[in-house]
Amino acid sequence: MEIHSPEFKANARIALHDASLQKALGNLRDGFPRKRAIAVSRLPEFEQLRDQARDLKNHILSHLDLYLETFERNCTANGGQVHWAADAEQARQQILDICRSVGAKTVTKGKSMISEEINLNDYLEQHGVQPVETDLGEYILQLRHDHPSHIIAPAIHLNLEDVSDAFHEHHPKYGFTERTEDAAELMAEARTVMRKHFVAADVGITGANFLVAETGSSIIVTNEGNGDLTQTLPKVHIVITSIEKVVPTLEDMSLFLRLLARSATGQEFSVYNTLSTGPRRSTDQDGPEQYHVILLDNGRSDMLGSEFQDMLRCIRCSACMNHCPVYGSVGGHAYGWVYPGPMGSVLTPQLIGVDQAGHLPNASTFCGKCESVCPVRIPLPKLMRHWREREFERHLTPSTVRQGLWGWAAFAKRPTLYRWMSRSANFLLRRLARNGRISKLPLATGWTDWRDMPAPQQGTFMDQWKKRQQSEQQQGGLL
Amino acid sequence: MNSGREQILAKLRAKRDTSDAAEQAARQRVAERIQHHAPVLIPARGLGDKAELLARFQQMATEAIADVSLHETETAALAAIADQLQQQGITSLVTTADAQWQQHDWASQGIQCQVRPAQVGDHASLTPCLAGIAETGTLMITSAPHHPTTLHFLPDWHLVMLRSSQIVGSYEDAWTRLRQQNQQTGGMPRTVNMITGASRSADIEQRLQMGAHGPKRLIIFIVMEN
Ligand code: SF4
Repeated sequence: MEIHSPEFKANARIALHDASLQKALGNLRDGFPRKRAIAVSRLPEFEQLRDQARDLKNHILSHLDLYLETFERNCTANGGQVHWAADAEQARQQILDICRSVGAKTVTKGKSMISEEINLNDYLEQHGVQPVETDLGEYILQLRHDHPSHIIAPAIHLNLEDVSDAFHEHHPKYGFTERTEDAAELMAEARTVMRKHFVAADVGITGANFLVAETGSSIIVTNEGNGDLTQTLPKVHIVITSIEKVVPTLEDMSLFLRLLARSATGQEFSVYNTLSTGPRRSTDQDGPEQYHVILLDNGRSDMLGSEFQDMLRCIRCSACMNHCPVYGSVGGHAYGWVYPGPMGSVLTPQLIGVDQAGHLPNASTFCGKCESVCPVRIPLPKLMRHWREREFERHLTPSTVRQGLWGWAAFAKRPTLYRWMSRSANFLLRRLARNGRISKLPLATGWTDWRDMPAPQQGTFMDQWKKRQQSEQQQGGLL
Repeated sequence: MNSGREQILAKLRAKRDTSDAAEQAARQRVAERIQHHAPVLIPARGLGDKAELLARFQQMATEAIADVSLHETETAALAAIADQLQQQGITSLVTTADAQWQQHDWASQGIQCQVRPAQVGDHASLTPCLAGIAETGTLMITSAPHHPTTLHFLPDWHLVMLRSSQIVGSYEDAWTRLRQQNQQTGGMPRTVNMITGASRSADIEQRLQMGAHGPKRLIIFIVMEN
């Protein structure tokens, strides 16, 4: 996917004015958070599981090379082939080599964010291999030459009419000549069309939610069943995944599975959790003849041991973006690359460079909602602050922000002047307010165009603090 | 290929203490964790006596949009299957190899029963399973020489025969059953499916639609055993 992160501000402005996007985002805001809350309330051990998931991930990260070697050993013992890719280019090359070795013309693909990260589809197409996305959302996007705007609900930015248009344009060749706006009919169409692709494909590519070191297996978690047909029907199954996905045992994986679906869609469990170990056995009647696992690094080993290490715990559940007021207002495309929302704001500067995406961590109200729902307790606001500091140190912050901070510092260092200024501002703002809200504020229309500004309380913080100290002293004296 | 491997492992290793003592301790921790594969935390809902787990399995599977029914014997379950297929006008059934299933008189109800991997266009399949997991109403089904995985995904209906003795509380209990089976068969099967309800998608406007790419219906027949 091309990088458009530097244009976040412009993208966000367009997104806020896009009525159809705003309608689509309404579906997200109303759906996922409520469903997650219900699922969490039904599992009393949920908070304890989160603690344990955090601790287990930390244990894995401090033994990462050892678990990866164990995975490799057991995967190979079961007939699988493991490939290590230091960067996106290596991973793409390895996948293309495998496709070419079997003369592949088409490959079916299950949903994989790593495949987006390494821009696999364009690469395969350029080299004469046709990829077909099989997840319903991803398939719709592929027809529209569009990109995912969410890590588990890729087409969340689209409405029913968009899907109808896309199918009506592309499906007549399969005999579907009538345009329909019935969601069930649209899905039935996709089901019929996709079966032809499943059967025709030479190679099936899926991601992996986890890798199990103990058994050398990979697991995919889906609701549609497309991933299963993708990996069962073709001759070759390629798993494209990243190095932090390894877990020690099946029991350890269960811990994460209990958290994943509940945090993501609010389901008790996803419909299909499928573990693959090696190629089909000599006596099996179906399944792929080859099983390859590509282990991608692409900047992750640099995060290990850095202040961003916590981010490697991420299990890609999407809870942070589902609960993020900024994501909920502007959608995923505004972030300009593969990973949106709070997790993307932390990950993207690491993966594509702070010069390209160092400002994304500013797209946060620091309300802390993301951290409060993250199943592996990643301190996302803190990590975003780290990037802000780095951006500031490297003078990548825009000059208006730098000047603003400089101006504020000039006052803050002079207490008398600062107090006088804040008292005057407090007085003026209260004069501007109606019913405690300010609906228009000069120089702050970027805020007041979208929401009211709350009017300040009586007295500045310093005044209130002083009063409180005095009254506490008096009370203390009485006791 | 190798260069990537060495490069990645070297970078990861550089981030931890690899002095002799620390290295040895780290290797031991990893080996022990894998060898013991101890459960981390099993939620209370994964525990209970037989009757509780049966009831919970039924409740959770039904909630996940599967049809669940109880039968006194396997013969009774097979009769119920044939009736259901006949009512819906389904005239073919694909199954795994099972002597009793093949001996059943399907023909008298106009049903052709075949043992083979599934194909595009199949209407219904019938398979056994390894375990039914009560905590989320999940079936664990493994691939085997006479049990092709396509049976779980290509047909419109997937019918599953579950014996009450196969119902366990938690995923961990199911892994224990899998390990027991692996000892008999000589190792992990190619595919372990954990299936909870029928195929679905909410990719169009977040509205749930059943029957995305996998079966439109998952129908579970529980055979009661003492
Ligand atoms: S950062 Fe946490 S909440 Fe966000 S996707 Fe990752 S695991 Fe989920």
